[in-house]
Amino acid sequence: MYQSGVKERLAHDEWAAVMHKIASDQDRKAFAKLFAHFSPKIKSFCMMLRSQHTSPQMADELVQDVMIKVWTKAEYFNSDKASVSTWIFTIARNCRTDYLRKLKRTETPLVADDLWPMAEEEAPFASLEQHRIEKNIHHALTLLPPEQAEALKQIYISGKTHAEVASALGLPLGTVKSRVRLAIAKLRISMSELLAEESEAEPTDATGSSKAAGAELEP
Amino acid sequence: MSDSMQQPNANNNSVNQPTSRAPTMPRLHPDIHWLIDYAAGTLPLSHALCVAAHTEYCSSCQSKVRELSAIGGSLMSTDTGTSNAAEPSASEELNEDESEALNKLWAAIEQAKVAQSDTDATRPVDQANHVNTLQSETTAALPTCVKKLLPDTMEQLNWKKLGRHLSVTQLASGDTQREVALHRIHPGRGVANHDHKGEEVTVVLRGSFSDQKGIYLPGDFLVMQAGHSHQPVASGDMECICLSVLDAPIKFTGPINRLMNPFLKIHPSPAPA
Repeated sequence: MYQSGVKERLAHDEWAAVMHKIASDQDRKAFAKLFAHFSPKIKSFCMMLRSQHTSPQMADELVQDVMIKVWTKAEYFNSDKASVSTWIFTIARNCRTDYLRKLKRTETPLVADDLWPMAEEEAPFASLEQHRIEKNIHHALTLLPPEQAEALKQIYISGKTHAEVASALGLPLGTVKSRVRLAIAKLRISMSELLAEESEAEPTDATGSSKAAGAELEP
Repeated sequence: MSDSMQQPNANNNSVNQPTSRAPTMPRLHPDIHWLIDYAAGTLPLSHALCVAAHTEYCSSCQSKVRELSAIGGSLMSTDTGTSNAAEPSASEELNEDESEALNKLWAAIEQAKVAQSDTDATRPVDQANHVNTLQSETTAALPTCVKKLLPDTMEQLNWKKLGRHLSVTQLASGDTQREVALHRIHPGRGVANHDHKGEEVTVVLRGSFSDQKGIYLPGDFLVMQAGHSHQPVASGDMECICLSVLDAPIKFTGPINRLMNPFLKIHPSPAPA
């Protein structure tokens, strides 16, 4: 529906605006708003992790870790590169990884932010408005067959490997892999349609399309 | 091997511009399932290190990872069983527990600020490193995620010889199941034919090598399954440095090299006492 599309778009822009207020003015009210909306999502994301360590205490600690990062790194949030929810997802994913790594108490100088660099540290990306991508993903997710959506959810939210999903669902590994591959292909098509549209409108090479292999160093 | 394969520019380039990567896109990429697991955060740390290293060379996989992360963002905001009142303008009252959590959070943020200013103070060192190490054999041109595990120069690493032309040094990746190492092959020299007893992931970081199947350039991401046997040779006059992650020790298959097999034990990251 046209109406709801506009609303959704507005919502994405508004969350980005809230982030900018936090970044530029250290606006505590804006942060409280963001906290009210996202902390339950982060908490249930953490609670759904399939791990022997999952507990409400762990989830609360992680919510705190994530929200501290949101506050201290707010200036790095770039609405051209990621929506607020994607940005927060990557922070939550990294905090969750670090939490589990610390429990194992292995010695390494690596932290999750080294292995999963956050968007702000990566190379420049297309100026494609991120909320359009997100909107399309939201929509494409609702169109997925339930078994494909379930497989994706188990991987992204419950943090299971493909093999763990297979044994949880009592399916052969190959079946799970093909469900995931099909789901991702559909979601990526919905994104690449946007990317194609964008590059027609504005010819840039920033989408990472591969150049001819074998290009030499400049003379 | 002939000296005619040398590429004088390659060396200068990598030293003078530590952050610049090979001008060509890598030819071999991680399978989409690797990238999905990477974006979802379920890859083992050592494998995540390989994917992260590859994406520093590969803008195509970088943008795939970005798309796959956006799927995670979407799933988190819709599929976690909470209301999806997406508008910030909608009033979202904090209940008592949440207000308390927010208060605790402000206290924690105050503490984090102190810690933050400490890390800010140390940050410029990073850039100084690039300058200091230009003269020496530098690690600066290697991917950022790998550099985090390395001292400033290659000489400071504890290299073990595995044959005449191959040396290896273990890295503390925090993965207790797999061995993470840098392999270094002398320019134009080969490594004895060997089998892989477990899966091995290799990312070429500098130089290049070839085997029976082809040539592998910086950023190339290879997964060798158990039972695969090959005989890599470094190209040209440049030594080849690879990141490798091993599930189980490799086994040399030549008659003399076979004597070395007892010494090839896997060295995963040490677990603390």
